[in-house]
Amino acid sequence: MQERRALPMPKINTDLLDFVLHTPRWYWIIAAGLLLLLGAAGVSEGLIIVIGLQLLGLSNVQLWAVFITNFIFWVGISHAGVMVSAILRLTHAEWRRPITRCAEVLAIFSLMTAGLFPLIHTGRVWRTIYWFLPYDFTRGIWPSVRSALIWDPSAIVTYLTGTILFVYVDLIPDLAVARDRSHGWRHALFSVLAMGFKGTSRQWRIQTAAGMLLSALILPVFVSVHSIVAWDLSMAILPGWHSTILAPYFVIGAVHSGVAGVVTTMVAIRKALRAYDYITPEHFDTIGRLQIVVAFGYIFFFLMDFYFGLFAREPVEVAIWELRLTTPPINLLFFLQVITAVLIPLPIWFFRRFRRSVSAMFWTSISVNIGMWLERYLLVTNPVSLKQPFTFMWVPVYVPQPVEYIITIGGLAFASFGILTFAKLLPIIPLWDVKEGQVLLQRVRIGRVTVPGVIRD
Amino acid sequence: MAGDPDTVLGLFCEPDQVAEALDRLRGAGFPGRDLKVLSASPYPEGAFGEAPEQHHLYVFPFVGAACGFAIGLLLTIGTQLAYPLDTGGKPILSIPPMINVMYEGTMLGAIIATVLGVLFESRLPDLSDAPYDPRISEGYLGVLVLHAGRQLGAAEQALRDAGALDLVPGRTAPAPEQPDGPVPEAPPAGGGST
Amino acid sequence: MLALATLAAAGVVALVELLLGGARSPASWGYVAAALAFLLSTAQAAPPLAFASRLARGFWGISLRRAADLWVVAGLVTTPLLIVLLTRLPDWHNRPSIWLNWPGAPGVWDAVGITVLLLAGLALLWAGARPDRAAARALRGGSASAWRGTVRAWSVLTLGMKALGGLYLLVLVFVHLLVVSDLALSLVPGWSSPNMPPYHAVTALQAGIATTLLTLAALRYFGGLERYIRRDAFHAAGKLLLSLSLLWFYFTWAELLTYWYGRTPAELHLLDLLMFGPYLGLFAAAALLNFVLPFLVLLWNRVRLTVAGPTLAAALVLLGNYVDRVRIYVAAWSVAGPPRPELDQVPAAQWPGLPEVLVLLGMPAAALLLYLLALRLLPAVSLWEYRAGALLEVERPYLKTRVPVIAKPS
Repeated sequence: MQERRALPMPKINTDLLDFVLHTPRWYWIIAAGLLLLLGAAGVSEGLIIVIGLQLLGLSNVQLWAVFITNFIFWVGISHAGVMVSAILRLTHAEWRRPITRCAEVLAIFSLMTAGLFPLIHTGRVWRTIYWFLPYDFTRGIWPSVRSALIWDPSAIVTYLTGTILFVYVDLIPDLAVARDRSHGWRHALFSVLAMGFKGTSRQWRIQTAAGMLLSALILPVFVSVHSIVAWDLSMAILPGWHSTILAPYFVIGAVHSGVAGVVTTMVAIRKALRAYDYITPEHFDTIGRLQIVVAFGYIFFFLMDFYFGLFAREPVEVAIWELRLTTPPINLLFFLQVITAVLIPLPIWFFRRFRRSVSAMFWTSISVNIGMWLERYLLVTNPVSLKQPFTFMWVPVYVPQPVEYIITIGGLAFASFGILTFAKLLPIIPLWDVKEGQVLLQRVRIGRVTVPGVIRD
Repeated sequence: MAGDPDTVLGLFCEPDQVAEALDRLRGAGFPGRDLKVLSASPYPEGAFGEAPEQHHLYVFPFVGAACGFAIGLLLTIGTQLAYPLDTGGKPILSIPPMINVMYEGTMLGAIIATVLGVLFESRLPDLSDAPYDPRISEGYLGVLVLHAGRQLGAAEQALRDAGALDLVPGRTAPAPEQPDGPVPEAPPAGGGST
Repeated sequence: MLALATLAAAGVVALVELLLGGARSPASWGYVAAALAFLLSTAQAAPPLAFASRLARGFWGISLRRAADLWVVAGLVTTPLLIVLLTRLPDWHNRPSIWLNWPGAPGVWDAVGITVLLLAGLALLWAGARPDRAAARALRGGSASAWRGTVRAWSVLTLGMKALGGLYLLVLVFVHLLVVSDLALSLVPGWSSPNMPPYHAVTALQAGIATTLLTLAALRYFGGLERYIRRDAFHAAGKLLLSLSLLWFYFTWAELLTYWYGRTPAELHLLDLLMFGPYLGLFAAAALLNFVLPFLVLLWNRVRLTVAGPTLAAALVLLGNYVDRVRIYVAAWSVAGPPRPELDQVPAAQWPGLPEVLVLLGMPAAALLLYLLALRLLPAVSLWEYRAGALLEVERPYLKTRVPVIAKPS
């Protein structure tokens, strides 16, 4: 990248291990705040378990609402971790180096957060194991693979395991550096985790080969996970859900919200670790350009969903769109979704000045994720709410209850706390990747000017 | 701890010195398989004149995928036959949903096997007594000579002649603990012409 | 070229015969639509690969950019072909479509769309060839051209190429949406699948890459351009072809799974018509040629690093794309009739007669003929881009080895 400076290796080690080896005061304050929010969410969940699901705003019409929205949202956020890391690794994009691990860690903790919501949603959480584990606990009941809901555990377990292993393999050389730089319990911990890594030529060759191989393997998994989540909806014969485009639409939406999530994480990591030499405005500029491409893809799929919802002019499909476009307060949420997910951020990303501005990129990424959460909310709740004519009595319109708000915020706190803890215990900016970038950095003379170049190994 | 007395590690500042050291050691009759370069980051393959590392990492994903596929197949067939529930007129052994679960099983098997392959091919965990110096992490480059035997002296001389900053012998006490904090500067990373 | 001209002429004659009342059934026009969709998906979908390589500043793409851009001339075949097909559409009144009774739809707007695509493609080709045409004129000792080669001119040209490439890609995706929805989806009762336009566009990009790969192989082998058309172009395009072949399966699977799970009578008839009924052989062949075989060929890194491997996969994809388009459009036109809510029965397979076969062969032959004629006017490798790439890619010694260094100026 054009703006890379030559950084000595000891400086890289000091800068990127500082947060791991020393604890600033603000860490305890932030961690305490997040734990407080987690505690509140835990209490709310406890109340749900003890009292029951009537604490939620659900009814026998509105069976899926905020918790399923959160599930889909967090699975979506987890996508860009792999997308940024794997695709950029496979295309040898140099700018990926400082941000791949924070993207992968975001994926891990987002996925864990996502996995909590279906469990919370069941009410009697412990009964889930009878339902999805392939073991005959009692009464001869086995999981039915013909249910789309059973595909979710297989996909999420695969993706979570794959991402954790991916991060661990990539982390081994950095654990060796941390081992060499630490003492006491940290030294013992890093020594065990580093497994005696010494940095031989063979080990480095295997590392680079493994990075490419695991990237190639995890990319199809990344596509399949959110497709399977989409098929939870589209396998049901419900207008607005039963659509052939839901799987690719969800995937592109996940990438849109996930890349925004990566930007948010980059800003936070840059500030927390004071990594101004490593995560530069050029990184935000480049990821902003990626966001433009993804946003156009998202708009295309959104328009396909809209046009083909009206294509056959079926009354039930038209009713969904009438609800979203003309019926308050749903239409207000819909317009807010469109404005925050696309209309505000996309024009801003067209300007290089704003792409290079860390605060502009931060606030546009927050805007995107507000919009994408609303998109998932409307997608989940609207079609189900139209089952009203099939009930024998009028049920109240769905309104989220306090416990749903608290647990939703708790989900955000869980993911944030997970990423913060990871960054505290382990290096979140890849040391060896950054160092490799330094080794491969060259200068090329063209006429009178010298431009930066990179060795293509 | 008692190290391997037949080994020695030479520490260097510059990649050119490492290349020269390897040339001298090969010239002194040490086989390539007993010479290892240690570094804090990967260098382009063949940069030090070493032979390309042969590995079979690419076999592992296929083996893992085959195992995962088989487990997925057995699981899906087994559960459907064990609990034959007619859902919406779909056949008891429904292939489309089976494919989804089998696909995930295949990929999980491939990924796990690849990771195991990485550890195996990297020879991790490395429990050997070969010498190591924490200054490698700070940007120094190491040339490790294994199985030197009676030629240990010649190896040490070759390393000194190539400009080794320090020699770490195999029979030695554990390296002193490094404090958390700044350590001696090493030259900036990067080699070759600009 | 004589053989191509003969085949093209036969195709045009067959088309005229169909127009003059020689069509045995609406399915005959399905074959014409398949030929149109094939050219739109292969030849006219080749330039986006060049655009992608310009955008990503990929040096692997230098040798393929002009070869890909030249395929825009196929628009001179597809534009009149679509206009002819639009006159053969059944009554559009109250027909489910994306147009929602918009005046002039679909005929006028589809014609406008494909014309804009043709013009955008020609503009892209013209702009990109300006420096080379000026150089050729100078070599021949001709009059001075308007191209001066100043710093500003180069800056405007490179930016303009990216803008035109982006515009072309957007219009191409839009035209694919128009073609598949108006010539297929709207004709089949109950087939309101929003998955089909992206499927059509993505498989077009796949076949566009295949077209470019085959073109490069031919230019290397028959054109004596081994020194300029490098292996890394095949390697990089092969990787893209592999990923798009996986996407072929993904979009097909999304469609199949949704209808299979719905299991309403209408959806089961759709599955029967398009996949498991009279066109099962075509569907299986399409799956084999578009996904299974290319995947097995391109999975191996060693094979991707050769010229023959990606070329073989490209040939399979090209054939598979044609089979797939025949499956979709012939099936659709075989049930075209008055609008009705859902498909209630699936007709038998409609096999092609001689006119249909001549159209299927003649239209691609016409496009290939135009391409070869264009090669007489413009060099197959973009000289200015090749020279620019040579400045930015150097090989230099690094310790005991030699390494390629890619310069990355801002």
